[in-house]
Amino acid sequence: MSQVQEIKGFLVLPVRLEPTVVQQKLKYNNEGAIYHYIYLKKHSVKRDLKSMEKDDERSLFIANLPINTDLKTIKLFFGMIATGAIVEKFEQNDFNTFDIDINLTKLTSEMNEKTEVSNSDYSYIPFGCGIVTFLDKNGLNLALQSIKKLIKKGNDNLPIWEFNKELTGLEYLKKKILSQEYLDENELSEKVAKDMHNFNLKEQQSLDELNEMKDIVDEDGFTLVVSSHRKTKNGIFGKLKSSAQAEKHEIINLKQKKKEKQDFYRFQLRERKKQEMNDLLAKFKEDQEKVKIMKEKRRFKPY
Amino acid sequence: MVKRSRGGEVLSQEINGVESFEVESRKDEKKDNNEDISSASSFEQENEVDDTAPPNTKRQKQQLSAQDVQVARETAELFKSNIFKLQIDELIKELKLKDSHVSLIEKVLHRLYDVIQQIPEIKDLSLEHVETYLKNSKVSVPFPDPKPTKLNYQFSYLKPEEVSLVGSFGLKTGITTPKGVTVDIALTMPKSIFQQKDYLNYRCLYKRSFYLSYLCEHLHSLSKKNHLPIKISYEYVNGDVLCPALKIVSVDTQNEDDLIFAKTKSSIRLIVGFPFGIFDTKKLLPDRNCIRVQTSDDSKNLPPTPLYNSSILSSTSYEYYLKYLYTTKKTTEAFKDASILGKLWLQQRGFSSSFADGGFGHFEFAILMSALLQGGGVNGNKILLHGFSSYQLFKATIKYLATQDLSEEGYLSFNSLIVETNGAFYKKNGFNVPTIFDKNTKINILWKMTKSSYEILKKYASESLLLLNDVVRDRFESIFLENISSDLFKYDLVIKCPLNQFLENENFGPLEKISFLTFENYIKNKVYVVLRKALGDRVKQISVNLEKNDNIFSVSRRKPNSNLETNSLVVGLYLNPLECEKLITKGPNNDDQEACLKFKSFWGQRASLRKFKDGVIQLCCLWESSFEQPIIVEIIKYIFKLHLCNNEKDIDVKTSVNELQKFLPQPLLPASSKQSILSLHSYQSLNASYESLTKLLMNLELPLKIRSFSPISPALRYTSLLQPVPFAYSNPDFYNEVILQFESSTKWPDELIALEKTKTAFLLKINELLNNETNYKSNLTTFNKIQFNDSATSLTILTPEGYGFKIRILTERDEILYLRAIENSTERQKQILKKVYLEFVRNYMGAIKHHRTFQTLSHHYVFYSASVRLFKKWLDSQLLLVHFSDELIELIAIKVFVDPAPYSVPSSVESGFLRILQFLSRWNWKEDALILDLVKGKIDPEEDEDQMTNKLSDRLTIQSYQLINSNFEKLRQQDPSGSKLQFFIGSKDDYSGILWSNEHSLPLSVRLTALSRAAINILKQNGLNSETIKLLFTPALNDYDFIINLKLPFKLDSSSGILPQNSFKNLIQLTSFPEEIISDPLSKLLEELNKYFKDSIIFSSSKFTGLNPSGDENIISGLFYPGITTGTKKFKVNLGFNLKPSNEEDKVEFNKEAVITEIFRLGGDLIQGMNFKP
Repeated sequence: MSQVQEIKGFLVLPVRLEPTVVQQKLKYNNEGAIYHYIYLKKHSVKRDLKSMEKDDERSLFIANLPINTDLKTIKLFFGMIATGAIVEKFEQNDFNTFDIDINLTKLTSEMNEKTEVSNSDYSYIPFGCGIVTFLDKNGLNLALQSIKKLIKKGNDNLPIWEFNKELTGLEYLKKKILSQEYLDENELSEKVAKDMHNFNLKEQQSLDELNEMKDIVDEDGFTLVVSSHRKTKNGIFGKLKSSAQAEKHEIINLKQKKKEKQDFYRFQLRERKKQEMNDLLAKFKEDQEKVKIMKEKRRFKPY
Repeated sequence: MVKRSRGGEVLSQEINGVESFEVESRKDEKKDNNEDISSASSFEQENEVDDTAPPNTKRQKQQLSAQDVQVARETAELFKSNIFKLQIDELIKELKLKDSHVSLIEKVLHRLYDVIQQIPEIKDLSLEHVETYLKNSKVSVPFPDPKPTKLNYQFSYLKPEEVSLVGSFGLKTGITTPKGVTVDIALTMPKSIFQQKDYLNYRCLYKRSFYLSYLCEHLHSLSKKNHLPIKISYEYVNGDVLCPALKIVSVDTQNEDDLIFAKTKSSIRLIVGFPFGIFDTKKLLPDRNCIRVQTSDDSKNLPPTPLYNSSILSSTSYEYYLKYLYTTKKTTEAFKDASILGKLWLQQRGFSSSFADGGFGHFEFAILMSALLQGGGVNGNKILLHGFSSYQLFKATIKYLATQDLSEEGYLSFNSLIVETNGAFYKKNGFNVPTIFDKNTKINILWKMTKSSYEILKKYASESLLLLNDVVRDRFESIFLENISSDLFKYDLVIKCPLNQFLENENFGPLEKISFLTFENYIKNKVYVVLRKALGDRVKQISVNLEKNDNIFSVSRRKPNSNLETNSLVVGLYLNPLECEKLITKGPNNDDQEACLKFKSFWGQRASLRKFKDGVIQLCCLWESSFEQPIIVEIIKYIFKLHLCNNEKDIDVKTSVNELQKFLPQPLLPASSKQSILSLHSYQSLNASYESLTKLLMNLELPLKIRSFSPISPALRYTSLLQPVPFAYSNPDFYNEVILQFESSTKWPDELIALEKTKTAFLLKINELLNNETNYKSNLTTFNKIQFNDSATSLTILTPEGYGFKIRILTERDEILYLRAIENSTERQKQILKKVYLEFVRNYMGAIKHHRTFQTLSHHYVFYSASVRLFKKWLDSQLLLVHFSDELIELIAIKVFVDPAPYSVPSSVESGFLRILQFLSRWNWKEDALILDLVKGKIDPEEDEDQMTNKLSDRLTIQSYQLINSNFEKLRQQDPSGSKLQFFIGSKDDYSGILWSNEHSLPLSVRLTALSRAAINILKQNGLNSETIKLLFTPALNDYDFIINLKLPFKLDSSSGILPQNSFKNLIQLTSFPEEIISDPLSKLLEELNKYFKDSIIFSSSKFTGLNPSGDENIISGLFYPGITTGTKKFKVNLGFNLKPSNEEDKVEFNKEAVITEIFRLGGDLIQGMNFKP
């Protein structure tokens, strides 16, 4: 079989998966090697962030990673296929299986986002994909070269993917349970304290901005009136916007509901009665229709 | 033309009647069209005021006053009105016999009539002559028992005085049935055959038997000659052993000249009657004796023979009553349709004129209606009016059946001779047997009914009346379309006893024989009487029947084969849920000597004296509750042995309820095997622990005051599959979630993640206080059920009593922030954020509301808890429980309790569970929404609508019902096949209907329906027994693509609080928690597998590893999504499944081998084996 080497600009690297002990014992798939395919590409970021720096030159985007991949497995793998290409860091999305990035902090805060401190400088990575950053540009090139070589050589020399031996079976699951069920209280309270501090800072900053605005007298001589409950500028403007809309709506409603007697003239009564009769008729037709549909569905077969 | 007697005229008259009716009905239609609007309004108006409403008069239709329109408008909104009428019209059309069939049958009847006329007469044969005459023929004389030996009178066959079409076909109220139509023809024997005293001692019956056999013999030979190939057998009319008749069915020959009516699926029944008024009817009153047997005692005290008397009297009146009903039909336009409705209604409930089917069928219903058209009130006031519509006639008759007692309190007396005047009265003081008495013929129309069948008929009538009064929903289907006659579903408890065990001990002597006629009738009556007395309030209705009823037998036999040896008694019980599990049967006070003696003689040794708390000393019986066997069954076993077996041996009482209850896990608690299935003891202990915990937390010193605690855990609403057991930490439901709300504050952060952090800070504070100052243990855990919100935490608390709780905080800001997120998001994000919002509602407010509602409902419907737990157990053994939330399952299961129509509220685990399955198997969720009225109790039909209690109740109003329904319709317009959302369940807690069923994939819902259908089919075919029950709870694994067998190195059964099989419970005791609590690792494995492969494989597993027989094994099954795992896809990095390049350019396919290896990798040492679908 001619091996597909590239797909849509991605290098296709088959790696061999070693069957587990149990798998061997059960003799499942002992006919041949099992291949997993990973897809690699130089990482390029289309962002106009100021941090447009050398990272881009030395990172590799990998799709369709085998499960439970972490820095350790990545290091091991590149250590094996491209000695000298030293992995600096590995980022992946291991939790968000939705195909979209959602940041609830951003979406629910009314504060200015200028001050946002993002602790990772990559944008959203799809599930099962990862970005490997090498120590330098050479490392990346080295890795790419050796991967290309491996692909060319074909089946016999394809590398083995070494799973992280610890991430399997009972012990792994137990650990996983414990890490979720028992949070370290000291660590947690420190983290909460820190985050709350940051949040308060941000809030204060935003409040200060607001207070500044209070003091500014605009061209027409007006100042902004701010309630003591208000904390952010956006909050006020957001509210203003929505209340304006609501007002508009109400005005329209009011216009429609002019004060007008509905049963003053005889014709009104007559019209209304007619309307009611028509409604009734319509209702009846509707019911007939319903019964017709029910009949089509054979709803009237008692047996 | 053949010469015809008067009977022939009646026949031809009837046939003409068909055509004239055709014309009538066409006229009707025309009228309907012209007056669409007005008939719609007047129809409904009559519904509202049904008894007093004047008939449709033209005047009323023309003058539509504002008020009329108002009423019409209001009620038109209830939609039931118009649509109900239209539905009835459609139904009656559907039920109408095919015209082609009718004309064919008529042709057959004509020919049959001719044949009968050809039969030669024969006179004055003695018994010996009869025997020799029939010796060479294959026909025997169907003499009733006792077979005559020496007789001093002769037998003759003379031309029948009359041959007339009777029964529903004669009345043109015949309807299509699955079994086919039976056409009744009555032959009246000529007067000259009889003597005045022939009603005594079977004489007229013997004469008739000969007449019948002679008729049979000649029909046999003559029919062939006349090209009417038929097969004849004997049939007891309505199961009456005194009244054999000829059943004629068509035989298919290939001869073109032959008249064959096999395709009409109809049979003809030739009934031989006596001339009307031939016997002195007074002598045949139900309290007279007409069979003189010689007894040792004074022969004057012979018991009355009501069955015998009534049988003879009704044999004289076939034609008479046909004429009576015919007259009524002529005077009352809608009588025919109402009779059809009544017939169908009875048929769907398993009622017919036959003894075995309750003795109340089309005939009795029609007579009752006729009587009610004459009167029926206490003062003879008319219950029905001639101008009533079919719906009104039907409804008012049902109402009469439901509300008037015709057995003990009073009876209905009417006179069939006078049709027009007020001839019918409801009279006080009944005869203690169901009675509708015809003063003219002296027949009790209900003579075939028993008290037992009457009770049940009354129950059905009152249930249907409730449905007819329901203004919110369309109840048409439950009233007319659903067949509820299957023993499997209609009773709460079914008990089978082989008949032969009663034979030797029962003294069924000549006196019993003349009053009950057969041993079967006698034993049925006795069992009923004994059970009524023994079970008292514990049961509502008791049905006693035979498993097999043989009414048809070969003409070569005198009577059917006795099947006493193989037949069984089937006792069906409708239980009173509040009484049936009571431990004590109370008797009289000790002072009342006479009553005490009676009580003792009835209960035997079981009766004992007890002193009660209030100082009263009473005789009573104490029973022992047990986990598997309902107390009712214990009582029945005891009392049967005592009264039906002279206390000599145990009676074989077969019931499957024990087998079913066995599947509920028994908790690892002291004496749990002695706890009744209704016992909530274990849940109450948990509740006590919860109460003391919340009290403690309330008093903690915190920056904000705690406003409330809202539990949301199944165990705190009595619906958890496993009963809560202290220190049972391996139970997947061990932790009981509780939502904590603080008093309102403006200080909560205005951003979601920061808000979660603040909540965590509160939890940390509580954690610190608990660990340092109390004997409670606690720690923080992650709460990750809401996507994208990875900062939420909950506080795990272990109480000193041995229970676990998880506390989360809800603030007034949460919802605002989730909604804000939706508002601020992009279009693409919006879809997902809406789901996130739903997840939030599900985990907080929705869960709280649901919990509150179901806590009350579980209390109110006492068998709900056990039934829903068994249902969960079934789901778990079918590997489906992991896919559906507890709330969804509970909502589905409550359906048969809050809306049990057409049944009543289930009052046993058996009926509860089976009806849940039946409902699921029938629920077409693509087209129907499930709308639940989650309130306890029924509305009282008698109560005025304006009364405060009805107004204040939480019932769904028409408006809210329609709102929910329109929500459903909108949803289905967007998604007609239900691929996005299957189970739409609306209630007062959730008008949207989608809260609990948002997350399922179509294949799972389809599987749930398919499995319930399979289960119901198995039960319908093979009945409920230990094998079928076992089969229900055995997982169907063949449909999965692969099965992974897993085994843990330790057992989880006892640590889940389940009593391990084959062990002594006092050897295991849970008394403490381990250092770290690790829940079932296998469920974690399932979670991990889902995380990686949920887009390509559906994994199913049993949630409760501890419930599997070994306690440490489980399986995970996998089903590949066909859309993903076959075929190729364009390459994209975010396809969401494991890809390998395919032969097509730029396309990839699913890499199955790699995925399997990865699964092995994750499972590691836990995997014992893996099997693939061959």
